[in-house]
This record gives sequence, structure tokens and C-alpha cells, in this order.
Amino acid sequence: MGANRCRLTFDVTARDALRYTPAGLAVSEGEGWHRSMQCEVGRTREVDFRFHWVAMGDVATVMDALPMGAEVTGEGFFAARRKGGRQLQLHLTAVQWHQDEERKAQ
Amino acid sequence: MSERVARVLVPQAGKCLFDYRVPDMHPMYRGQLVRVPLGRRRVLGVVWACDPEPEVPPERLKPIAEWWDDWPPLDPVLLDQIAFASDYYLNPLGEYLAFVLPPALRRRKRQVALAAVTDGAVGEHATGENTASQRRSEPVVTTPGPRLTAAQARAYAQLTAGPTGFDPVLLFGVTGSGKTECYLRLIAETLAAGRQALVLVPEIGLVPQTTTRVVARFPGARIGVWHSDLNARERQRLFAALVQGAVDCLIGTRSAIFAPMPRLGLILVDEEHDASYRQFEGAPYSARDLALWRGKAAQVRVVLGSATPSLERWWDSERGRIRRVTLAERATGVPLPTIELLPVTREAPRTAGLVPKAWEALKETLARGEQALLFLNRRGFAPTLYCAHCGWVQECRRCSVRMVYHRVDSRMRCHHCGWSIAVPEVCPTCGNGGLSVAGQGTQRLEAELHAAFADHGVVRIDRDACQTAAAFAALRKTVARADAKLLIGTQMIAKGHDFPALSLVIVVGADAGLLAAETRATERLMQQLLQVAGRAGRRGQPGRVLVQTRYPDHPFFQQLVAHDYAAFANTLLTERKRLALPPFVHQALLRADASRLDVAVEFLAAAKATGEAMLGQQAQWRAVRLLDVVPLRIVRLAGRERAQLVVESSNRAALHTFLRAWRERLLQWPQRQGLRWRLEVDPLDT
Repeated sequence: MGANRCRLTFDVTARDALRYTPAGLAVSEGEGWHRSMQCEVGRTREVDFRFHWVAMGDVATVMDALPMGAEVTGEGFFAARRKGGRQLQLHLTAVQWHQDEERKAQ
Repeated sequence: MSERVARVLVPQAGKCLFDYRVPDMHPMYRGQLVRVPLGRRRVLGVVWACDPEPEVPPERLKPIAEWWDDWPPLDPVLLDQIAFASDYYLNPLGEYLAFVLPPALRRRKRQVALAAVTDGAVGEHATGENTASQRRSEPVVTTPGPRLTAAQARAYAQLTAGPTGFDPVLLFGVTGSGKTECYLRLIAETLAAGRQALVLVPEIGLVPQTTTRVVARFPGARIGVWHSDLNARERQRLFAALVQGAVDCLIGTRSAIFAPMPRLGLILVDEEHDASYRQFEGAPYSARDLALWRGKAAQVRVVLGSATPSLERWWDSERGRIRRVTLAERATGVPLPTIELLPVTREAPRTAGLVPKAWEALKETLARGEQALLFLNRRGFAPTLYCAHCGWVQECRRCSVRMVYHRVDSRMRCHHCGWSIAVPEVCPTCGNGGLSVAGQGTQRLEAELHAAFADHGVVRIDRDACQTAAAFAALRKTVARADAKLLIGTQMIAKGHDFPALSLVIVVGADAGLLAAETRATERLMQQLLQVAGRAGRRGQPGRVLVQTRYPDHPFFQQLVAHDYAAFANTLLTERKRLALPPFVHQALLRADASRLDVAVEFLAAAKATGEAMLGQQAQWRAVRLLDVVPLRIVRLAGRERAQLVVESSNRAALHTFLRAWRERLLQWPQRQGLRWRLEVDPLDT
């Protein structure tokens, strides 16, 4: 199996209503906003992008329960959004909500 | 004195005529019921011919085992009809006899006394009071019907003005024009003359409605009901009553055309354009066409009623082969519903598949407490289950079609072969769990509308919701009482039903029928849409019909909006004439199927070569043409791959003599492993 693993902290900026596949699997889809500082050729630089994410099963229920704008760290892999398309989508297989940190900040 | 011989027809496929020895003094009639030894079995059959030229010396024949002497013989017209059907549809005689003789009677080991069968009611008719064994002593009582409107009176006068004897009439009456009232008066006349009426309806769901009306009009008349839902006892009793002529009026679905009716005086074929009158599986026939044949043989009037006649019969009435009587306005005086086209575009916002105007109209209708019908001719929840990631689509393992997602029991179903599987949890190709559905079926429409209009009573009427006549009758009652305000239905709901409170019809999607490649697709679509539109505004307020389409400018829809079936039919006839399509040419179809397409195609190609070589043998066969061998649109069905070959001719007699000779040749060919073929006369789909 080729490597395809990603860990990303992001804000949930948009989310569709939770849906179920015919087999009864929960699916949540939406948009995330990632901002961070990263190191490249020995210098620190800014990173800022929006992307599509999708989650299924328990992870979908978690994503669906989050308040809009919540900051999470998600883990997962990339797959094409549509067959043959170049757009990618992050499939979240685990997610952690930084609720305590948000509270502390307040 | 020499021995006598009876040639007996037994209800089975393949060889079905056998000779038997008859004791010298025994009376023998054509049509007599007898049980005969056949191999190790004893089989119920009918005497087909008395003293034919025997195939083997009489002394070597077996004797007839049982004479059912207390049973009257089958009427000669029915026997001739069996012979005609077998000859015309190129199928063994015995298979048509099987429609006549009730299976329960055939299975009995010993002779059944007629009296033992005839006690009790006939079929499952509505009142339950009339018994078949009643001998008619007093004339049939007719309760007075409503006064005829001027138009109805005119039509009725024309209907009865025809010649005595065979009189085929096309009753072309718009939906709600009171065709049924004309039928009832014709039945009254027939019963008053001491003769029998046969009423054919296209499907079992329409039997109760028709029966109720007939029973209400003729209390005390012996009314029989014939359809596939009768149990063995009912079927047997009905048959016993019929052979004795103890049924005054028989109401039934297509196979009722094979009912014994010794005093037949009238045949009515309601919704004559309906494809359900055709049977393709087993012994093929068209009940409507056999009705015309039987009417001619029995020298009685045959009335074919429809708001949207078949092109074949329309053409017959145009060229004066059959009379045409027109009912152009509704009996209630309420005008025909207005039909409005609602353009649908890819971008247009839709709620539950409805454009805003349709949605608003639905809301308003329900708010006024009236009924609305949404017509969508697609069962199930969604017709496609697919994986957006890899493009996989759930197809049937045995047919080359997509499977339909049914949410009610969470299964994928093939609407062509009936195969069903559990909904896959992940994509079988790439493992993606997020499978999606696309498209809209009646279940999805029901779910979406239920969310918005649950208080109004949402009812879905399709083949999944009512699998038996009883279930359908129950649903129909709910609808007729207007307990349910919002109806969602497939073509099942479009036919002949009378729902008084219905004022709005929305055709959710009909474009598929317009784009289909079959010759008769547009004809069928127009019939379907005018029929479903005709459900609106039958009593009281005028109805409104909204048709959603991507092609509002198509001439088809302009004729629909004008309710102008005559113009539509004539346009279509001109086109068919130009293209030399039916009814301007007679067709037959040789269909072959095998586990692999090339086997079927190879057989058909050989059959075509043989056929073409034969064409020179007779002068009249020069008018016969064999078209190309082509795979069917749905190539694989239930694991069989299929191809066909059309044979056509402008001369029916030439086509038939050719088909007979050609079929004989093909039957002589050695059986090919796994290959099946059949010859279809007057195919509906080519």
C-alpha cells in the first residue's frame, strides 16, 4: 500500500446536512480552513488554504455535532472528489476537537 | 358396424391431438368433455373432431376413459377461436385450451359431477347473492340509470344503429365522457334479449369498480368475474356456470376471452388500446383482436372503448373497416382539464423534483382540501446506485440494466428479472463507503412529500404498494373516499379510475417516453398522459394538469395541451405510412436467446438465410421482407442474451403462409444447446 496519510488542524467553515447512504452509513461533508506556520528551506512561512473534507460512520456523527467554526485536528487520507477529477478531498478517519483549548483561550 | 373414433384435444404444449376409440352406441359431440388415457396419466380434454380419418387403425386405439356426459359441450365458437388463435399466433392448440379448462378440474382423478361444482356463488362477484345454479325464470331487473346527456344519447343511438350480427365499433370518448353508461345500456339490451355480455377490462385492479357498477344496475343478474386471482374452487364453479350458460354478464381480464359463452350477445373491450390485452409469455394472443374475431364468429356487436385508441384500430375506423362513434365532451358538463407545460432546466431549483410552480399549485390544492395526483412512472426509491469515486454503478447480475434502490425493504431490485440483493455497504470495486443514489422513484417522492404534507395523507400506488387485487381495492377505496389527499402513482393509477375529488394532476417526469427508440413509445406516452390527465376534475370543479418537461416546444406536447388525440393519431399515421411501419405493414418477430449473444445471432442469421432462400418459392412471398438481425436494446435479461429479426409484409396472408412454412423448416433443425427461439406475430415492440 502506498503512503497516503495526512494530519491537519482546521476550522470547520461549511458543512452539508448529515446524510445516510442506502446501506445506512452516515456521511458528513464540508469545507475546512487551515492556517499555520511551516518550515521550508530553513525558513518559516505562512500556510493558508481551504479544502473539502468528508467523514463517514462515527466520525461523520462527530463532525456533524461540531459547532460551526470549531477547530479540530483530523487524520485521514486524500482521494479524488469525483472520478477522473483533479480536486482532492480529505477523508477523515479520526478527529479531535480542541474544545478545552478554545475554552482556555476565552 | 365399424368402430368410431374421437380426436381429442388435451391442454398441453407440443402434440395435443390424439385419437381414441368410441363405443358404437355412445353419443359423441364436438366440444364434449372427456378424460382420456395419455401415457401413464389420464387427462381431461375435449372432443375436437368426430370420426376423423384416423392416423392408426381404430382397433389399436385406446378407448376414452370417462365421458363427462352431464357437462354440456363447449360452444363451437370457442372451439373455433382456439383453432384460430393457434393458427394465427403459430402456437400449439393445447396451450389455448389450457386457458379454458380450470386447472383444478384437470387435476381431479375422477369425473366431477356438474351438480357438485355448481352449488355456491359464481366467482367473487360483488353481491354474493346470485348463484350460478339459479335457473333464470324471470327477466333481469334493470335499475334505472342516470339520464343520458344529449351527446351520450346521440352516441348511444349511433352505437345501436349498426347492423344486426357482427358489428365492430370503436367508441372514441374523451376521459369522463360517460363511456361506462353507454356500456351499461348496451348490456341491459343484451340481457333483455336473453343473451350474454362479455366485458373485458385491461387489468385486475379495474375489475371491482366495473363489477360494482354492473351489479348495482342489474340486481338479480348472474354476474361472473374472471381474473387470475380466483382460487381453484371459484375458478371451477365459474367454469361450470359458464358452460351451462348460467352467467348473464362476465367481467374479466384478458384471458376471459377464452370463457365459454354459449349465448354470447355482446363483447365490450374497455381501454382497448391497453397493452395488457396482449400476452407474450406462454401462448401468445391479443384479447382485443380475439374479441373482434369472436364477435365475427358469433355474429355479435363488439364495442372497443377508449379515449386514446390504438393506432391500428384508429386506422381501421378511418378507413371504414369498423364504425367510429365519438363522445367529445364530458358527461358532467365540466370541461376537460387544462394542460399546462412547465419547462424544467438543469439549473432550475426543484423541491422533491417539482419546479416552484408545481410545488405552489400542490400546496394550494391541498389547502383547499382537494386531491392531487403526482404521476411518476418509476417504481422504487432511486433508479441508480453509484460510487462517485470510481464510477461504479450497481447493475443486475443477470440483465444488462441498472438495479433500482428500494428503501422500503432496503434492497436493490432488478425491475426486469426480479433479482434482488441487499444494498451493498461499500463500493465493490474501490471500497468507498460513501455510495450515492441518483434519480427519483415513487418511494423517494413519497418520502420527500411526506416530510412536507404528512397531515394530508400521502398514498403511494404502484406495483410494490399493492401486489394483490385486494390490496389495490383497499387503496382505491381510501382514495375514492378522499381520506388521502396526495396520491403518488405509476401508470397503474392512470387507467380508467374514477376519483371524484381529484382536481390537480402533476406529471413529474415524462420525457423518457419521448426519447425512447421503440416505434410505439410516443403513442403509449400520449395515451398514458391523456389517461392520467383524464383523472382530474371528473366531478364538480374543472381539473388542472401540469406537465414537467425539458422539451416544452416539442410538437407532441402541443397536441397534448390541445387534448387532440385525433390530430395526434392522424399525424402519427401519416408518419407511419411514410416509414412503412405498422399498421401499414404486418410484422412478425423471430426472437432468439442463449447464454451468449453470438449463439443467438448465429441462429437468427441462419434463419434469415433460409427464409430469404424460400422467398422465391411462392409468388406472393415476394411481398415478404426479412430485416437485419439485431441484438435487443436490453441485451441480457435473466442471464440470457437476446437478439431478434423482424419479418414484414404489406400482405397479411402472404406473411402468414410464409411464417408457417418458415417455422416448419426451423423446427426441423437440430436442437442447439441452450438456444431458445420463438416467433411472435404482431409484436408490440420491435
